[in-house]
Amino acid sequence: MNHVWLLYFFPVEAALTFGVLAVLSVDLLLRRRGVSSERRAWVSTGIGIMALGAGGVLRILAQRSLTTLFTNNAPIRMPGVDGLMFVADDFSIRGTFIILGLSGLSLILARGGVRLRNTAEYVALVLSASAGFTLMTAANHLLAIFLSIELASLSLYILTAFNKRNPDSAEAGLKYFFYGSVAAAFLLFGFSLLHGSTGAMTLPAIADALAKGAFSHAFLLLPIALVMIFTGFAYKTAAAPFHLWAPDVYQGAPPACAALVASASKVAGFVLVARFLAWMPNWFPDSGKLSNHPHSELFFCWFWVMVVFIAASLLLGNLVALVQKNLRRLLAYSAIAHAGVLLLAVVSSGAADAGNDPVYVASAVGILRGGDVLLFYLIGYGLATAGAFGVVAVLDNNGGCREITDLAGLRQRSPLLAACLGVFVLSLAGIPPLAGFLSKFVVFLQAAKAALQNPEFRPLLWLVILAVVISAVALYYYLQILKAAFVTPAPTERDSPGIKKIQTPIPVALALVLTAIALIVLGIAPGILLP
Amino acid sequence: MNFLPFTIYLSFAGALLTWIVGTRSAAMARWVALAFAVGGALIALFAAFNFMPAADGEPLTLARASWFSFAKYHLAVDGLSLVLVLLTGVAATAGVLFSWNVAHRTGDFFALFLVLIGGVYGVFLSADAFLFFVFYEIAIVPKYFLIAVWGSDSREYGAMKLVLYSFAGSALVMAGLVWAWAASGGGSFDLTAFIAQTRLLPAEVQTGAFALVFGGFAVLAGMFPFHTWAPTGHVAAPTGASMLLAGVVMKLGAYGCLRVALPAFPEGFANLQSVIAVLAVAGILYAGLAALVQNDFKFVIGYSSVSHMGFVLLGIAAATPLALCGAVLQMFSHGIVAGLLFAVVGRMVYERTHTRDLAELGTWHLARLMPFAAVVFVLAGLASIGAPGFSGFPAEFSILAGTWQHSPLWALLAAVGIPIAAAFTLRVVRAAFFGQPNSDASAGAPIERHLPEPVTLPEKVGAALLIGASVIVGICPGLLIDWIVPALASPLMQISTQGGVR
Repeated sequence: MNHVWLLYFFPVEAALTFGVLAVLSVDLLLRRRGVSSERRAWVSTGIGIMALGAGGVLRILAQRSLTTLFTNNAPIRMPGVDGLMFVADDFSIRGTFIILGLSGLSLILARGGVRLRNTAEYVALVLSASAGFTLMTAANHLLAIFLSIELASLSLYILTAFNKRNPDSAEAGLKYFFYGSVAAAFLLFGFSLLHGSTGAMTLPAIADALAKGAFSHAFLLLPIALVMIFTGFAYKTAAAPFHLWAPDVYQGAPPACAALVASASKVAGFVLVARFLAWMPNWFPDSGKLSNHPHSELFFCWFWVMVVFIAASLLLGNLVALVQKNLRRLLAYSAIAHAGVLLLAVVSSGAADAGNDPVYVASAVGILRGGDVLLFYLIGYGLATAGAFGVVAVLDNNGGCREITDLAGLRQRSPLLAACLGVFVLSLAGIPPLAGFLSKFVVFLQAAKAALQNPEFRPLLWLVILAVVISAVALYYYLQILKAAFVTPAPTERDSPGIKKIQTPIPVALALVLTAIALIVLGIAPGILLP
Repeated sequence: MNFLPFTIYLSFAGALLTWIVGTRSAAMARWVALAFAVGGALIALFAAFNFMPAADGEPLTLARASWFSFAKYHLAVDGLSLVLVLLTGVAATAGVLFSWNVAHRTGDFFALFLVLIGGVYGVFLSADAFLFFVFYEIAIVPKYFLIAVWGSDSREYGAMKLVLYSFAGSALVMAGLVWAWAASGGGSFDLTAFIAQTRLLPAEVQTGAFALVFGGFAVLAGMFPFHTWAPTGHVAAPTGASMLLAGVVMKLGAYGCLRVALPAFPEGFANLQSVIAVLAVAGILYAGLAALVQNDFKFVIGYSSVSHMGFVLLGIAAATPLALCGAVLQMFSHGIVAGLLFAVVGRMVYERTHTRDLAELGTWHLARLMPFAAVVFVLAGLASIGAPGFSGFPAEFSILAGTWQHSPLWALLAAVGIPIAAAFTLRVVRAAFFGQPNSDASAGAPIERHLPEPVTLPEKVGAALLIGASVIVGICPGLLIDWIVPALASPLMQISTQGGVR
């Protein structure tokens, strides 16, 4: 095993790392030649997008050419590890493509926002965060999970505080860092308990050890370990009641960075959580199926924790969003509410069947397999929320965008931005024919079916009904945004009569329009864009 | 026959075109919107002339394409949907005519108007519960903007209230559908297959799912005590929108009850039948009495809508073939008549006098200033009361007769609503049009009132269209009954009538 093989095993991460180096060195060269900062910013963004694109292309090529080493579900075996450290299955590869796309989108959208001083560094950090995200989708080993989360998080902390001259940004970065560190501590503690009792590090090996009776001598340690781990995950995915960092970060971070935190980072986090939770039925099988399993009576300690997270996220996210005046905080609470639905998708995809291929169990919803229901929701949600933050970024650069009322008259100031924002917000609200509606509906179908097929999962049905009914509450705050943008007239200033038009850079406008079109197409005929 | 799906496509295409044209010229936007509305109405009329009910009353498939594993893009028409598609065409055309004077953001107004119409056509033609639901929700959002941007006083409150009620209703429907789908094994949402599965569900699941689905639809149909959005929203809405809201959108709810909730959950319906009937009768009486004491002209009409929709719900609750037939007739009749009433109040009177206060209107003596409006309103009032010769008469008569077959008590109680309707209609006719100008000495010198503009041609055409439709159906209800009765005899609808009579 030669280290060059790593390039084959990690084509995406290799491309992103080379991208980081290229962005920084090209920027240095251009700066020496006295190229203007605006032009250097576009060059950096271009290189960043090329690196993300190259990662995607290499991912496809790696699948095609290295079939012997790297077939579709072939695991990567690392020397000295008791199993598979990273897996490259369909689930992680699809998640990787979604992450690359959303990271690229947030890079373009950053060009519409307030000009940052060192765009090259910003791009480099986005690329390294993306490398962390893609590793998160593939991590199958406790250490790999922890390290990939840390790689992503450290980049995000810096990105959040990137606008040094804005005290809000610095504050948000610090809060994010503190919360993230505490979450990491919880996660690590949980992992150490798990490893200490089972002696295993990879997820399948842990499941094996549990089936053979690990923890039976220290019965209470397992629930403690799981609660610690879930707490860490809930922090990372901004699920209530561990969501408190999210509003501050979304509010203070540069909007394009908030777009990254809300979209690509979410995708990585939920893919990781789904991979971890997919083993839960093997850890704690239904008492009916494997009654002799040592932990079948411990079913509650993961399932009910998740039920509480989902219900709390749905209720808290939607109800607190109702009273928000700040647009970015509102989007943050909407993200918390969506985290509830996403966790519902995760739990129900694992719940449908405790089969051999844990993530891709036969799904309840025909064409989409269990993991795909989650990914489809993540695409719809990620595109809509990244797009909304893209609009916020442009507005931020044109007179500021803090309160919802700052959107007043957006229809007159920029019909294009208003139309795009309308699509994004309606998709977040789950109105047909947009992707947000279809993905939400499919999650509900899957969860309801899982609930009615397995008596243990019956509470999921109540969560579905709660989620459906509370979506009517959610429409209120989404309509507040649309009301400001489409109904309220633009404020006319005393000294300058007439309405100040907003100029959107053409690439940003193009990206926003394409995102909106993608949401419409995905909502009507998802088969066109999804294989 | 196969042109009917184009009512949907034309409306959406028309919305896009109107929006684009509207950025250049308001007048062009009006004509384009009118062209597409008339186009939809003509397609519906053409389909109606060529309509031959299938021998067993089953809906005739218009379009079918696989869409998702759990849903098909399936459009179909039978007598029930044809009646309502026809109503939509007429109401949409009249709505455009009565909105001819919209000057603020004209293109946007008609674009949203046509999106709403397209969603409504889609609901009436859907033969798949998922597709039905998609169109149902598409019709919700335009309502908010129509009211919030172009409405009159307290428009933002009225718009938000109306839209949240509608969306809460649709959320209940969605919860019920998802539950029933999963409980019945997760097959297809195609109505025939869906109903075949859900009707076999155990009684307690049926009752729960029926309560959610029927309750959700009934919110939009204005069922007491979830009706309060209707008067507020209709009053706040601009004329064209309130004509559509009261005329067509409330029918979406009633249609959903009839088409989805009743056949899918016959046992649930049987369990909750009397609850629905009690609420329907309560709605008829309560809204009628409320209309009797309103001081705002438009609120009277708003409450009268709730009262008349109570008859539709009563017909559905009784579920005898005669009562269901009457309910569908009443949907058509009320769609026409409510549109006409709102047109007179909102467009002819309010936009000229700028008041809706009945006491103040009394000083205008409108019958002399606006004889056309007075005549139209009196005719519309007669139709609304259910006077013979207008569409309301066969409708309410069949509902009451059909309900009598099931429960004479319900019929008797509901019949009390008819004199109440007569009372509030005649009161408002007298107060608004035949008031005595300055009869009291305290008013001082007589005020000379001049109307700023005479009644325009689009208003006259629109009023003639609606009155004509009401009179035709009033004199020859057989036109519609010949379509409705075979559709009610279809196996799917038989499930619900049997479930009800049991």
